[in-house]
Amino acid sequence: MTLTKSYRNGLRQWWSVYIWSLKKQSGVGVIYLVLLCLALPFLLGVLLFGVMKSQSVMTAEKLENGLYLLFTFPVIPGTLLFVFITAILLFRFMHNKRSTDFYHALPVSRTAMFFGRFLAGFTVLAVPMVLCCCITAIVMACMQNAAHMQSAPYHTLFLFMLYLLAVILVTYTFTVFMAVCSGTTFNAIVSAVAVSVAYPVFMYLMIVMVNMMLPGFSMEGVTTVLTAGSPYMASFIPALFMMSSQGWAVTGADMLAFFVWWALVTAVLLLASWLLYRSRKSESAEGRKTYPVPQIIIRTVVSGAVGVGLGYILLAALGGTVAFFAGVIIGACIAHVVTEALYARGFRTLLRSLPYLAGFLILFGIYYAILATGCFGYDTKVPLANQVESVAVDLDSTAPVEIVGENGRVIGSPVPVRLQERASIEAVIGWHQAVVDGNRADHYPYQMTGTAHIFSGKVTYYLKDGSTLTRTVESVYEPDAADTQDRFSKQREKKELLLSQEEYIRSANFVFYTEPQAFSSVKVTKGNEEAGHYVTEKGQQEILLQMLQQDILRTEMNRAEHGRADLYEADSRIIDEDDIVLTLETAAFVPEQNSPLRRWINGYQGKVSLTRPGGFSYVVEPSVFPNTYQYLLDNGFLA
Amino acid sequence: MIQVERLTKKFQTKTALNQISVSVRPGSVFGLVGSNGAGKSTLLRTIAGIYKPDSGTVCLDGIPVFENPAVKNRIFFIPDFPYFIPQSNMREMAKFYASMYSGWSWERYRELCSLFPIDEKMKISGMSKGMQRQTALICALSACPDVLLMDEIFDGLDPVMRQLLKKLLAREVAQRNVTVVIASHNLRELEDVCDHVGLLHQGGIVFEQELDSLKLNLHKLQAVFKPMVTADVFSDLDVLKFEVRGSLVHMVIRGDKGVISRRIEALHPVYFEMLPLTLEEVFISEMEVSGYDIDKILP
Repeated sequence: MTLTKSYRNGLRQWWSVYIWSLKKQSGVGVIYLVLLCLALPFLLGVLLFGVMKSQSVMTAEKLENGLYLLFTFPVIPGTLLFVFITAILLFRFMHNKRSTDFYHALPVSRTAMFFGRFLAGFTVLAVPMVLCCCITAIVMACMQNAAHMQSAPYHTLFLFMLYLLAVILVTYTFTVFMAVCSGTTFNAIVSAVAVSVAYPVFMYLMIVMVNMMLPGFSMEGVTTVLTAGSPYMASFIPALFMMSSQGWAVTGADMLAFFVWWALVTAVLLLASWLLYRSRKSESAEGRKTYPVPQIIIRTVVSGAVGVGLGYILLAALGGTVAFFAGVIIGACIAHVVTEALYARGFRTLLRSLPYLAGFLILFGIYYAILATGCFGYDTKVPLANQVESVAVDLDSTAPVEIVGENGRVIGSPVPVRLQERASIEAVIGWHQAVVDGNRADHYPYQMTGTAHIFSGKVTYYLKDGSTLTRTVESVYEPDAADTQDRFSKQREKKELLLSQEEYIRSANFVFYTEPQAFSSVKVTKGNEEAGHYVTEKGQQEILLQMLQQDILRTEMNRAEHGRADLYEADSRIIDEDDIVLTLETAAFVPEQNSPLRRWINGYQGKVSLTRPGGFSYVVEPSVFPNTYQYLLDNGFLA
Repeated sequence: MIQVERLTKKFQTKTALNQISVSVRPGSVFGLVGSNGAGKSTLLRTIAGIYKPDSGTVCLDGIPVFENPAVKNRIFFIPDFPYFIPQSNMREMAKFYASMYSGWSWERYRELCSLFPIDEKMKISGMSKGMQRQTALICALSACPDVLLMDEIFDGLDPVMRQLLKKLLAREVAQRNVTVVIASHNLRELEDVCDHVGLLHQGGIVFEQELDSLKLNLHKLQAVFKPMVTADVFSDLDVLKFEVRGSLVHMVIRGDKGVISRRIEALHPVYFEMLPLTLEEVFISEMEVSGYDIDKILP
């Protein structure tokens, strides 16, 4: 048989759908572009104009901070709103019988129909974003010229644009997937909103439960897990991360996991959406359950979030495990009924859905039992010393020193302290094991009520086989028990041994890794009165550091033998009127190429400064700091 | 040729079409009639490639229709409630279809626009039901399909437009050998345009026949007998309906006209007359045989 007409091939079909969909959505694209331009170049211009008008010096850093602020607050939420609207507008045709008949009767394959619409939606969202960033770049160039700035953060703008395009792709794909899985637009909206809100809440509550029950649990990577099923919420994470701490050049393990995860999710959701759309029955339009599995998962997550949430409320109000479980069951049942009624527009399928509720409650019970019994040995896992290559330790007593870059953002930190010597590793393991043994001996199986956890630190073992093992070191205790203090003596002893290790002291204390040029002046006070403020020269800085190093090393190394060392950091003790306090006043500097600081700043070439909440102040008692005291005395600092 | 073989289509637990087999020859106008919920629209949508058969096949010239753009390019489906792209006018719809159907003819479109009183720049959402149908018809005929599927196309069209539609369909069939399938309850209109008729009931096909042979094979008979006869007397004939009103016997009989005449005359009726059945009467008679009887619905 021969066809009487030539027909359009797949690419021509796709192009026809693409162009028509683009045309129909162009209005949304124009509105989006106008709002983006108001939110970004216009507001940036206003912000920068305000800075210039106030006669402040305009710098690339200020410009960059303005970008961070604008991208995170008006741009990302606005973009997410338009992503949602566009995806629903383009794919709601399959939720209406008449429009489904219309489009599925056309001589266009399902693949061409899906990708034509999908790419039209992405174009409608991506093109305004790119245009807006181009306009922003022009505004920045004008500002650069007007303010006589040497450079402007075009790189940051470009990276933000790429990030926003990725956000658009992920959230758009997710919403399209929800639309394909749903029989009605209402269900698609309910599903997308429910996942976006309920998933992070559910995961957070489940993680809090782990934290309350399982000693040793590390929250590492939790940010990614918390939002792993909610692309709308996850969209804010990197932007907030960039604003609050490190910067585009530095990516933590969390961020790497974040990007890898979402790249995978996008690919899987796109593939699944396409395959499901291809097999989607036209008659499922306006139906309650097109593909039931996503709805079952969403209903379970919502039930879980509400159930565990109510469980916590009853636990706080009434106390006891029974109250917690009653809350979980009541909350889950209510949420299940409501969600089912929303999806099914009534209670006709409620009975059939109850096994899923029962399944969730059984799984939750198993989850509780697993946590109570230590999660298959998670709580007791401590490696042998000969398995460990190195260990990173972050103790609650470690001063949180941060290294700040020129733009005011943190670019690195000496914490956690990395230890490689055998004696140090053994000391860490000894302390960790002592805490684990104490927990198992007195509080096993673990409970949600009646006990609390004392956080002592966090350790990450880098094993010789290339893997890592991270645990928090926390002691379970009963607040009401009389012998609480006594039971911790062995653990304290082991910790003192760790703190007295020379490698630990040299790695953890500021005076060992800083450079003389890091502080430009010293201030000496007696009691609370200033005794002197001195600008130090380079030779003096070096000698003063050496004196401090000798005194601190001796004091700390003796702590295991003679008990806990005296507190010498000024912010950790009460200052008597006779106490001499030496404060090192830091200034921005470029670290030497062989400086220990280079380990933590990841190739950063600009000036850095070291900060610590309590500053760098030491109580110079002659018995504890004999060398430093003598130096201060000899050089007239105590005059 | 449209070939439907052992087609079954289910909607969850309801079987809309059950093992249906039907063929429609090229260039014929096929009327699809049946009770409400018989599966007419479902059959049309399956032929149009909208619904995927649960079992069986739907082919156009031997090639399955579902998810086959090459075949669907030759089919145009006008549903009972035509859908148009929101906020569009007829001109935009025409552009849309022109980009989708390779056989689209702007010349024919302009000709049809001159025949139907439609303002092509008027928003379709603001048009009446009949005007929307005319719009759908203009687009459908301009796409120059080989197969035209129409569901309740006469609804909302005024008598003049119905006549115009019939003429246009006749022209399409004569000039381009178009195959037309019309599902409708308007049997009077179908009778004028169809050469074949298929009767659907409860998801199954009751019959599928040429309209002329169907009508020639069914006869409405009025007779007066003295003495009065009972239905048993005609047990050797295929009597679909036997009714006595006063002294007048009304019958619908299937069979050869000559055989029936001779059989009746043998009973020496006082008066008898054989009349051709309208399609509506054929429909009612056949449906009564299938148990779809007004007397059973409203005793």
